[in-house]
Amino acid sequence: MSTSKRTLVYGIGNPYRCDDAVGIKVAQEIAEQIKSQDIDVKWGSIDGVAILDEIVDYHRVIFIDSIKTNKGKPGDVYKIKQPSGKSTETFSSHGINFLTAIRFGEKFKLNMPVQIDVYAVEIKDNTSFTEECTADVLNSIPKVVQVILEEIKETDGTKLRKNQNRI
Amino acid sequence: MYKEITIDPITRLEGHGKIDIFLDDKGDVAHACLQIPELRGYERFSIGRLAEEMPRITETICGVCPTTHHTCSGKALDDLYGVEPPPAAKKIREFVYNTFMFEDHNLHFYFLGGPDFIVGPAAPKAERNVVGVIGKVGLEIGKKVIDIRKRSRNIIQTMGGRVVHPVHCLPGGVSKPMTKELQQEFKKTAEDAIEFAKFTLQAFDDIVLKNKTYVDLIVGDIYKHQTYYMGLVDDKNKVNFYDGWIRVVDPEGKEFAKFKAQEYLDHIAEGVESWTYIKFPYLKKVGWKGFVDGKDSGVYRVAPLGRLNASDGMATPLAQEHYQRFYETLGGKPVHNTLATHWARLIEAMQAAERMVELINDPEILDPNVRNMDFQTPKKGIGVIEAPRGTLFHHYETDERGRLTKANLIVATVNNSAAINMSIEKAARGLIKGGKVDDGLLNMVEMAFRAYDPCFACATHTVDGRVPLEINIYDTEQKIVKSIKSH
Repeated sequence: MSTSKRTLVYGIGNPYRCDDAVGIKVAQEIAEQIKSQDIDVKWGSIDGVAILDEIVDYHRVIFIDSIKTNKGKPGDVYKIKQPSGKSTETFSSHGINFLTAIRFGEKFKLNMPVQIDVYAVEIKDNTSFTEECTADVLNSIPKVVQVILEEIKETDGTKLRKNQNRI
Repeated sequence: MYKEITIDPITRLEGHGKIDIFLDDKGDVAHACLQIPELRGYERFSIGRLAEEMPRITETICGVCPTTHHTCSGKALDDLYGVEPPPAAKKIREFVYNTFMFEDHNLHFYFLGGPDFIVGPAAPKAERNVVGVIGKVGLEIGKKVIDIRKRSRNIIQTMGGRVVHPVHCLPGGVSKPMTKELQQEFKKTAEDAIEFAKFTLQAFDDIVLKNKTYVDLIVGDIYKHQTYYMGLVDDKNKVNFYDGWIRVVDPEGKEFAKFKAQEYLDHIAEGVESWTYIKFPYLKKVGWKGFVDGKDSGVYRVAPLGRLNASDGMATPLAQEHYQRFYETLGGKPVHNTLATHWARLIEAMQAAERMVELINDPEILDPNVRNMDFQTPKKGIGVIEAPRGTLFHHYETDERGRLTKANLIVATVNNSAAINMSIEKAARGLIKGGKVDDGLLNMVEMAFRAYDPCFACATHTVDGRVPLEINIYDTEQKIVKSIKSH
């Protein structure tokens, strides 16, 4: 388990698939606002194994992803609790699932984070090819950013700065 | 501000596959097909963009193999701008690319396809994964897997700028040269990669080839298709992942065609079916005869088995030894057994490791001249590369300012799409008799998928990384008599 004090904020998504990019956009906004040597903010289109590569050696990790629960409204924000136990099935021929990757890291006593949180934004469209999110999802970004910044602030005592150039 | 929820990993469904199996009045399989609701929107999305953006755009097609799209796109830009990269740039690209092939092939064996054999095809689904593999082979081997993978990805990250979405391929070369310090560091990794490839091939030998049940499964008829095969070869018809000629052999192993990337449209056509978004490429000079085997059918296969069958051998000595043993063991060329792809993949991993050593020890790789910027007015550019899962084509056309007017991508898995459908139908026919549906069907179908290492969901991602699969079996009145879901 990690003895590092570093935190990673990671936005997952495809920047060209409409609302799928929301995790990336949130991470980019957080990167603009955060100022701390102990916090890294990254984003990308990654799968389970690559996720493992990214999180090893961090004390704490916060993921931001998109989700379709088919129950909520676009723009709803969720904090995902421990997922259910079907995580080790692998139909995927092309990547392993997130939880299998985590289990793999734990089994090998990799320097895994002490805490992993996943925030997800309910999305509407992740099949259209555009760099723009739909309106409801776009409008939710400041809210998600605020939630995550507050959580980091409360738990890590990070000093935030305001970006003078942003409207 | 937010709700706390517990998600089922199936919540997101992008990239899911749906298999429909239709029974005849005797309850036997009349027809089976795979539907993929996945649009290939990147081609349309790219229109109007500057061509030089394409290596950074197309690499987001896939979260697992961005290096492939990035490098292929870079090669298409070389062609588009009429520039030949300097020798050192080519060697750096090929070194990085072989590192990627080595890493990706091992990822597939240990994490994805290997569990079927190492843990066992009959093992509970929950155990057929990398954690189950490590349970079988031991923690020490798992640590070796982690170590070599980490060091391989370090090469890609260092030379590519980023490991997930590299940025080093530019038209006419690469973004940075190789230094002596990096060369020394990478030499050790490359040498260790060969040792790891040896170790993995030995493990395959011990676990799979010495197990009669597994060998019978590999050589059995259920996963066998007599098709054409395609792959990149060098001037001596040896397997090459980065460049060369596209060679096609017929189902008897005789050379059918050999051409450069720029001629691909003379040889490959893409068919469409009304029930799926995925296209079905076929050999234009043979023609599309449907989802059938044989010399009269234009269906061809790519990926490791396709590459080995389409070549006259491997380009490096240790891989060549294993190539010879492969064909001696499986009854000569070509091998038509789909599950033999797993073995072919490990032989390719050996070649990739040996090429890493050859390239990093080449003094020319240190030449600081890594960019040729003698650009010509752009019009059309075509690149080809061997992705881990098959031949990949990028074709761009632009106006004189370099803005895209046309893009055509034939991604690796699409080349195999007809064969994958054929494998599904054959597995279904073998398992469903007289209306009795064997519950092992799903796993047998999954095994056929995994051998091809397909990438249906690569244009999006899922929160848990899986591709959900649903199999529906219909009677003659189109009523569902059984439904199986992988979740």
